[in-house]
Amino acid sequence: MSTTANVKLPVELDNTFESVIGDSPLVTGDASFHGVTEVVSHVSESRHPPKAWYVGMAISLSLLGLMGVMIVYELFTGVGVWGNNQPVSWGFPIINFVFWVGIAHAGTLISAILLLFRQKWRTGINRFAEATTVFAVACAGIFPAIHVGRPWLAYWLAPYPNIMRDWPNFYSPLLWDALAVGTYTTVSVLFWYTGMIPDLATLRDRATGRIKQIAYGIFSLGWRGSAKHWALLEKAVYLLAALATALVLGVSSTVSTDFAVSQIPAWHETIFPPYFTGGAIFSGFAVVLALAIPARELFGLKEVITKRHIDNLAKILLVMSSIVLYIYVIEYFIAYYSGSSFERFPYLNRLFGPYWWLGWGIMFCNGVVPQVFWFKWARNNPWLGVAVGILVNVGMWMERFTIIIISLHRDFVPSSWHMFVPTYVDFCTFAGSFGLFFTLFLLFCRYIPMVAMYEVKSILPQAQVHQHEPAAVADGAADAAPESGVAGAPTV
Amino acid sequence: MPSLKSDQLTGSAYWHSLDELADTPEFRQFVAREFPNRASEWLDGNRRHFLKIMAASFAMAGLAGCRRWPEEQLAPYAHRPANRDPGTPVHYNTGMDLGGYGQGMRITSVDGRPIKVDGNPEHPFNKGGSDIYGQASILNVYDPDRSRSVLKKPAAAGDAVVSTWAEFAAFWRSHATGIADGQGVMVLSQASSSPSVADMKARLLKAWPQAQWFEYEAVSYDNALSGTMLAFGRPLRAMPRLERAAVVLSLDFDFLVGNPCSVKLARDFTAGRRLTDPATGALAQSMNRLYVIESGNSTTGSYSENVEHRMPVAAKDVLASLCQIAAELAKQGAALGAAIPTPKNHPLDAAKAAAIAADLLANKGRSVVVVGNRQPAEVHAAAALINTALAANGRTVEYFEDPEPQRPHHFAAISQAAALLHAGKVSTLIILGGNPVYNAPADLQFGDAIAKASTSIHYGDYADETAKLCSWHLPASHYLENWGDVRSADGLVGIVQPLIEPIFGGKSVIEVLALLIGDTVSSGYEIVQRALGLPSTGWKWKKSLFDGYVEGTAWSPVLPMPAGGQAASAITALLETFEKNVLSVHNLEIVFQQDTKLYDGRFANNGWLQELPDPMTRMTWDNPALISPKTAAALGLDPYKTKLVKLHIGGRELTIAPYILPGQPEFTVTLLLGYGRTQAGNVGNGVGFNTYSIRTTEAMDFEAGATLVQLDEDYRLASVQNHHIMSAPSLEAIGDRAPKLIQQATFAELLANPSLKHEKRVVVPLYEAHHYNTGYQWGMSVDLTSCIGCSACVVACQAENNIPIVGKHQVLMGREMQWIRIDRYFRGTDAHEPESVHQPVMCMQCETAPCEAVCPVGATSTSADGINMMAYNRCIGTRYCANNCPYKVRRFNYLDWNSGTLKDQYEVNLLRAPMNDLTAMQKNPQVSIRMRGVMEKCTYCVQRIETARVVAERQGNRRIRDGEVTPACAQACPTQALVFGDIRDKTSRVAMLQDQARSYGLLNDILGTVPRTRYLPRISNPNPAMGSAEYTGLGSE
Repeated sequence: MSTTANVKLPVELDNTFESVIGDSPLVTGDASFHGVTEVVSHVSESRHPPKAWYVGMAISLSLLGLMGVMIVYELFTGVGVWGNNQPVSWGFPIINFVFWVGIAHAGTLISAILLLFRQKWRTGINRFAEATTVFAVACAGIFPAIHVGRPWLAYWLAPYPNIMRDWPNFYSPLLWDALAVGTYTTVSVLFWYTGMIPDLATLRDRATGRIKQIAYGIFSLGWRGSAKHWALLEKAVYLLAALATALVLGVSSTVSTDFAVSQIPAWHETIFPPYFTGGAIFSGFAVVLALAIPARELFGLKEVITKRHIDNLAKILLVMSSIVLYIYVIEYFIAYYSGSSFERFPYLNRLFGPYWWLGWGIMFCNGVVPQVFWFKWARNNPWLGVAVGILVNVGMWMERFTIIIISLHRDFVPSSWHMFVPTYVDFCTFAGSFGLFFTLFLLFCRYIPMVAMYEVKSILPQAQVHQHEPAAVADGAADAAPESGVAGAPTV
Repeated sequence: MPSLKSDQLTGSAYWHSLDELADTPEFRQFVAREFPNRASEWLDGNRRHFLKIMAASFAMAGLAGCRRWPEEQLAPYAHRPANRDPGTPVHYNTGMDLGGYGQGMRITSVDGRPIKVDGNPEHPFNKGGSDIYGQASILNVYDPDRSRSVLKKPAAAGDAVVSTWAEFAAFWRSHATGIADGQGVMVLSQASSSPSVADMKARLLKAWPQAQWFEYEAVSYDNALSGTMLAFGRPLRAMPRLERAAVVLSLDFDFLVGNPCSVKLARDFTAGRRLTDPATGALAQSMNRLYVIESGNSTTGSYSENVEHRMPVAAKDVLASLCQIAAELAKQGAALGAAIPTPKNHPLDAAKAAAIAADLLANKGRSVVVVGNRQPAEVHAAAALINTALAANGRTVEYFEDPEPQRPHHFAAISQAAALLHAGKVSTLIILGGNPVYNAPADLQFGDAIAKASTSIHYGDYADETAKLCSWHLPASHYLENWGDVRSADGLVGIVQPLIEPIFGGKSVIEVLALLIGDTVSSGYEIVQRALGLPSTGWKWKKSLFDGYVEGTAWSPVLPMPAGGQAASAITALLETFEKNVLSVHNLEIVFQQDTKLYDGRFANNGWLQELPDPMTRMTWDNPALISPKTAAALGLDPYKTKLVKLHIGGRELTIAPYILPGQPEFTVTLLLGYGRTQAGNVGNGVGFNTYSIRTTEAMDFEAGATLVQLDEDYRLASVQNHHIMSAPSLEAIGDRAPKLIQQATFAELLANPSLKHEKRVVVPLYEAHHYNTGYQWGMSVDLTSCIGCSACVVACQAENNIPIVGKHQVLMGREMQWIRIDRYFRGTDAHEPESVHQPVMCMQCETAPCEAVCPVGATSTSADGINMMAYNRCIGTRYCANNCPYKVRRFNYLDWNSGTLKDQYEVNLLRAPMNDLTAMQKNPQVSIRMRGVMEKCTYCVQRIETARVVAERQGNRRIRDGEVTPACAQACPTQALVFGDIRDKTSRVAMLQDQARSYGLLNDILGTVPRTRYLPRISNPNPAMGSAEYTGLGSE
């Protein structure tokens, strides 16, 4: 089988079909172990990143700075710098929080659930998706913290022992939320980092500069690629994956209780946990799609993030879109079916009230636009994928705006109805959160192996060797051993 | 440090910091001159004087410019004065005068600082209720913009400079030598009910027989006097006795709100609609009835039985309407004679006129016709004649001899005064209060007139528009700072006693008069005693001071008889003039109306009143022109967006924002007085539009002939209740909900079914319910039948609970802070002529409060006695409670409302000045000042409950008696619509009311919140003959 290892497939190979002789290849181009290492490591090892990276970094850092200024201003002035009011006590920060938490879900889903379901194609994108999770959680975590009226006391949410014997109120969904997001952050960072150790070791071993050697050396935690290491790694990763899987379903469900446990019409709904989880996965996949396509272009990763990956992502997006659309329809139906005018009103108000364009906008962006992926030509058009990914996220942000603002601005007592008008601080802080996200993301692209090399290698055909085929052993030994590389390395 | 200069601040800037003021030369001068002056005086000062200096020191402390702790002089008690516990509130009775009518007040004072004004419950006239003016007057005491010193205009042109009383006294001594018999001296005074002022006036006129004394009020009640003059041949004060009336016909008279006698009138009127006796729980078997014919859409109008009983007509058609009813009365056998002509036009529906006449006649001796002050004398005369025919005189309306029958009508007086000034016949003009440059008729050019007098002296609270043009300005003391006296409308004298030394060194009007005429008795204390004939050594003085009124000084009513045919011809003539004029889009009628909040503009610098929503328009910080929807459509006004309009009348024009108010009469534009001030102070400057600029001697009340065009200029009106035309589902939702929120029924329905088919639905709570079955269980009952929407409770709550104001911008943002709001809904199928209903909404103190479960830090929870409490210290400001509150009664400190100014709200906290020390003096020390980032809401005035609990426990651990604790809102309520107490005590008034089957908890049947504040439905007593007003719901919000 040594021939397979050295076959150079076309980079833009159409591998989206199901072959009758087995799976179509998941890695195109130079599909050797070494080829994969080269392709991925090249990004971190090249002397200069592409020009676009600098441009992106400049924009991202500016936005991040803007966010910093806005947050400092808010901390020293009061949350009144935003547009929140009575009755709309929650505004942009909570919208943004739910938005970013949603995005955070795809990474874990791809890594954990697809890992547990042995979906091999996920290896090309899982690192990348986990990174979006971690960075999105970072963005999400900022908002509830700065959102409270007295942020310097936000730690009172934590159930810590104190001399006043004051405990938080365990009835409050906000507390559940804080705990859920805290857990999620911990697990997703651990999951991401643990899975990254062998690749960090690869970079350490290939590093030429002293600083890089030391830095990668510290973070690879002394990884030597011994069988015991591999065994422990696999155990850890599977355990974390199992934990994270529960969290994927749990965190957004918990976030949804912030709304579902209250008694505001259009918040107080039992459908909210699956609704929020579905929406979260939907938006997360949309972000991965929208980011993966430019990243593979920019950093030359077309060999490992192939057309098939894009195709699969598009299919998942289509499924999630259909689920979300179904939930939208159910919400409207149940509101009608409840027979309560208090329940019906917020839905009518979404479609025909002052924010009608949002009500229809989410239907269009989230329900209609992704339906284009029923067609293969659409799934195979990467730039259409980017467009749909962005539109879905616009739609999902609008959905959170709809849920939070439109439900609050006209609730029970009509005399207290009031419009919500965001201020420049609202917009700048939101824009700034993208700065944070992309700054982290660009740093990640530059300094951390963007693709899980060892996992990709494990799905190469030559990794599936049998004992009587020594050629593969030779190839594996030549390539993998020095670079501490292949999961489940064949025994000799 | 903000570099704003005080004169650059306009509009909504609230308390501006002394640091800013310090940048102005005037203020530097003030510091340089006034403070050492005080410092040298303090050694011989008494306690009040000491406190005053303390206050001044506090004020000065801000000048350090940095945030150092202010330096204070301490004078600890060596021996504590008897009966004085530091920190314990004490109460004094006093009196307040507004527009020439007095009211009995009770002041709460803590450590020498008055902090709260309420009605004096023992005062026979107002019996404890109060209005927004009384409640808000406390804020004026501590207004940093109040006049701080004598001002003198230099001989050469230029701005006034700071002077002293001594300098003025020296000037006046030399000036007075030139006044021989008073030739060329003119006093222009504002109305005053004070016997002492009358006494000093007599002394002045005796000293200077040739001097002229005029009295002017921009909002005057003199039309009524002229009316009785026409009808009875002499000016008489009419005082309706509404508690005796079964049927009341009100003609363009918003007697429930805004009138100086409103507290009494509202109390008396609602006595006839208190349907459940709080003592026994028994249901009343009769209810009075109100018909309203009006040229605006007033609170009183909204209180009529239903839309069929409120008849909007143009102001000029009120006379015709009354004549129409008079004709019906005559037809039905009333002994009216030929006094009242039959109108050619019939503004009222013939059947309605007949029905009203029949009702009035059927209740002969128990019915009354009352007329508003803006209607001309002829209408008052006609009403007086009808009242006579209805045998109302001496029963449902009483007449008193006017103390000054020779005094000319205010509007005539100001014309005469201006004419004399313009003619150069006045060399010395003394303006005693009032602000004629701002509020005199525009055609009198009063500013120019003042310039004709070589010496002009303005005495007033503020260095206002008039003060700027006078050669001298003398600062007035507030009524809480001086001795004086007042007379309520029935003549009862009340003594005004000072609660604090004049903070800014002002003098009372009687002291200034004593100074001017060189009276040997110069202190207000002695002048009052001399005028009342009550020496301070006598027991009567002491008793009167204690009671707040002098017993036996009320006038006896007289029973007048109609005099001659003078009235008939005048009425006929006026009716003919009015009938000739036909209103249209090109011939609009403008109607001037006193503002329900700023009165005539004198309260323009009062932030509480500026931010108080108008009961009908729910407008804050503005006075838009009120136009009916149909007229607005005919004029082509943009219904979606407020665009400025230009109003033309008689060669004058006014640019003003319009507000489309359903229920306004067609072709009538109501203009509210009191806004558009330029020298009111930092709160009032530049707020709203100056409608005085088109008010002329020709038409002080209303005038036809106006045209109006819309300009292409947007304007934002800060109404706290959205008024823009809403989408269909929203309107439908309002129509569906409002009847649930404000339950309504007729009296007949109530008698037939006292429970009003009230459904009680049990909602299973999510969490285990607590059983509130021990100790006190506080609750409140709100009777929507008695609530008139006057908003006194809102201001009282603001004063009691240290609630900040936030300014127009923040109101537009939706962040007003008042803990009580008076919701207003329109009801009816016709969006142009709806019925309006009011509902006070504050925290409902739910037993299963939705706010509590969701607070992550447990900052809000229900106490054992059923109060939903807020622990400000624990609150971190997640605002989840506010979201989950179905009543939306929680208020959040989005920014630091208590420091800096309204202008620099968005500045970083560290750069803003801390709370002004003067402002801080008003704050109730029993209630925390909330910092930014903290939620707040109604607490049932828990500080009062705790105070009462301490008292009760110290008195042998007895129970708190019913009525011993009253929250500020219930205390202020003139109609006793709010009743508070222990609902567990089944004999308490609140339990009696809450146990009525018709009592309901807001949204309780839907949400199961088990609110402690419950409502009694709004019951009306419509006359079936007026036509049926059947509604499916509310037409629009």
